[in-house]
Amino acid sequence: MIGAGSSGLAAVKNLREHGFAVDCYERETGIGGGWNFRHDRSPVYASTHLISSKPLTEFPDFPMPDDWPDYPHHSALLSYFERYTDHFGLREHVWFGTEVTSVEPIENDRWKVTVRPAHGGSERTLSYAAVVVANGHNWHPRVPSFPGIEEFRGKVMHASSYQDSASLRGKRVLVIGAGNTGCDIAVEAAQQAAACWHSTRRGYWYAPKYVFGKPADQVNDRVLALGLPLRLRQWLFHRTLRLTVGDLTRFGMRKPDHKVYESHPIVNSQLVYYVGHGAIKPVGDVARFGSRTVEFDDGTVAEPDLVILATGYAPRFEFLAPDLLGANPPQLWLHMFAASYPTLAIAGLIQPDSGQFPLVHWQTQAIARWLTLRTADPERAAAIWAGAAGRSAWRWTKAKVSASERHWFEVSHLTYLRGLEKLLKEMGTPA
Amino acid sequence: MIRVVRQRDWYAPVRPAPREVRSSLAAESKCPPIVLAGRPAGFFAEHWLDRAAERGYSCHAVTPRPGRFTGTREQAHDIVQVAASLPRQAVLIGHGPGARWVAAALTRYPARAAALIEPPGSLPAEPVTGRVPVLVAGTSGRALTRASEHYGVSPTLLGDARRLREPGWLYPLEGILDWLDSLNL
Repeated sequence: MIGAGSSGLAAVKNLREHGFAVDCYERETGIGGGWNFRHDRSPVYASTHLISSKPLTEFPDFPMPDDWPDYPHHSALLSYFERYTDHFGLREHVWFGTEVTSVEPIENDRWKVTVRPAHGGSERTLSYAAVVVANGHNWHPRVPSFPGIEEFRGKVMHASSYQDSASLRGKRVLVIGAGNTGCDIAVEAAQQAAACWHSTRRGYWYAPKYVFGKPADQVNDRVLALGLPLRLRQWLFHRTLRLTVGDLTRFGMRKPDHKVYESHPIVNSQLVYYVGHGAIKPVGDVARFGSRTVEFDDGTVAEPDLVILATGYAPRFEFLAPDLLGANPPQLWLHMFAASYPTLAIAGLIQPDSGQFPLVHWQTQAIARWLTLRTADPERAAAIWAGAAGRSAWRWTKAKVSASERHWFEVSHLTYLRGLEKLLKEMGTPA
Repeated sequence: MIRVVRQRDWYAPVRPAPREVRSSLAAESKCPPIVLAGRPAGFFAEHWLDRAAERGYSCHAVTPRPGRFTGTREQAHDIVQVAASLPRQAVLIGHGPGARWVAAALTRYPARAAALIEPPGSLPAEPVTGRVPVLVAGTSGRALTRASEHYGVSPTLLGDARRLREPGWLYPLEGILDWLDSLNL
C-alpha cells in the first residue's frame, strides 16, 4: 500500500479483511492524506466543507454519525478517518514518515519496492506480491503559463498554498479557475477582499447545495433512480437550475457551453449570490498579464494585487516508470488495473460526481477479491483478465465528458458502481 | 448477492432519531465491545450488561427508535450507528426481534463477531459484509435451521425457550462469552 489517506486506509482495511498481510507506507506522520490540514501537500483550506452530502460520501460500511450535518467540515472528515483507522485497527500496519521511491516489476508478477525515511536516511528494498497505489491526485499543483505573467509585479499563488481568508483581507484579488476551490476562494474574497474578479475559461453550471430543501446530490440521485434517460435528466437539471438559481447571463456570467454532467460538477450556492451583490466581478479568460494589470479576452482589465491560480492538480506517480500505467493519460481498466500488470492496482484515481469514499471502498473490495481469486482460482481469474483486455479505455460516464487533462478520470458514480458490482459478482464471494 | 448500488440509502437516508443506549464498561479494553439488541435496554441492563463487563467485555444495550413507521432498516441503522461510534470493531448480539435487526445490520457493518439468539424466519438477501464469525442459537425449529444454513454454521441448541424470557438466566450470555473467548478476538 502506498499512502494512508482516505483511499489507502480503505485499501488496508479491505485487504486485511480478506486475510492479506499489509505494509502501508505513508510519507507524512499522520493519516488522512489530503484531508489532514497539517500535511504540507494538503489542498484543504480553513473553510473547506464537503460538496457531496453524507450518504453519498461515507464509507458504506462505516456510516458518519447521525448528529453530523449534511455537509461536514474538513476537520470532521479527518476525525472520521481517525476513527475509521482506530475502529478497524489499521494504524499498526502503517509505516509513517516513510516514502516510496521506486516500484519495479520483478519475476512472478512480484514487485521490488524501495522505501526510505521521508526526512533522509538509508533506503531499504523489499519484495511484495502486490502493490496498491493510493497516493492521491490532489496535491501536485497544475500551473498553466499565462502570457506576460513573468512581468506581473503583484503576488501570484496557487490555490494549494491558500490557507484562509485572512490573506485576502483588504486586497484586490483575482481568482482564476472555476473549479470548486476557485469558487470557494472567490466567495471568501467577496466577503473579505477589497475587490474580487473571477476569471473562467468558459461558462459553467453552478449547482446549489440544496434544492427543494434537500441536499442537491440526494435529489439528483432520486431522479437517477427513476431510470430516466440522460437527455431528460439534463433537461430536468437545466430547468431546476433555471427556476432556482436563474439565468446566469443576467448576472454577467457566461452561458455554459456544455450540458450539465459533461464537466466535473461545481457545487456552490454562494457564488451567484455574491455576483448578484456585485462583490464578485465575473470576467473572461486571461488574455495577458501586464506589470500591474491583467487583461481578459472579453476586453475587461483588472488591477489585482493578488492573483490566486485555482487551476487544479495533476496526478503524479514519480515512483513508477511511466510505461507501467500505459500511455499518458494512464490507461487503466476501471481506473484501477494496468493492462500488463495484474498485481498492480491504483485506488482512488477517480473524480466522481458524488462523494469519493464509497467508490473507493468498492474499488478496494474488488482489488482484494481480485488478488484472492488469482491464487484461489487462477483459471477464472485468467478468464476475467482476458475479458478486461481492451476495456482499459472505457470511460465510466454516460455524458460526453471532454477527455481533457482534467476530466479523463471523471466518472459517474452510478455507472461506475454498476461496473464494479458486475466485476464483484463475476468474481463471486471468497470462501 | 452482493449489492453495491444502494440507491435508496443515497437518496432517502434513514432520518436520525433518538435512541436509548445503556452501557457498562469493562475495567480493561482487551476484548472487543459488545452491542446488545432485542429487548428494551433495561432488560439487558439488569443482569447481562454487568456480567459481560465483569468478564472483560464493554457492553452497550441499544433500544432502537420506536414508532409506527419504523422498519428493520431504521432499527438496523440505529444498531450500526452505535456500533460505529465505538472505539473498536464491535460484536453484535441480537435476541428475538433484535436478531432480525442484527442480521440486517450485518449487511451494512463488518462486525467483529455476531450472535443471533432465536433468529427470525426471514433473513436479508444481501450477504454479510466482512469476515464475521456467526453464532446461531435457539430452541429447535425451522427458523433456527434456516438461519444456520444461511450463515453456514451449526446451530447451538438452548433447552428451554421460556427461560430465555427470564432476565436472570445468564446461561446463554455465558455461552456466548465463552465462544467469544475461544475466538481470541
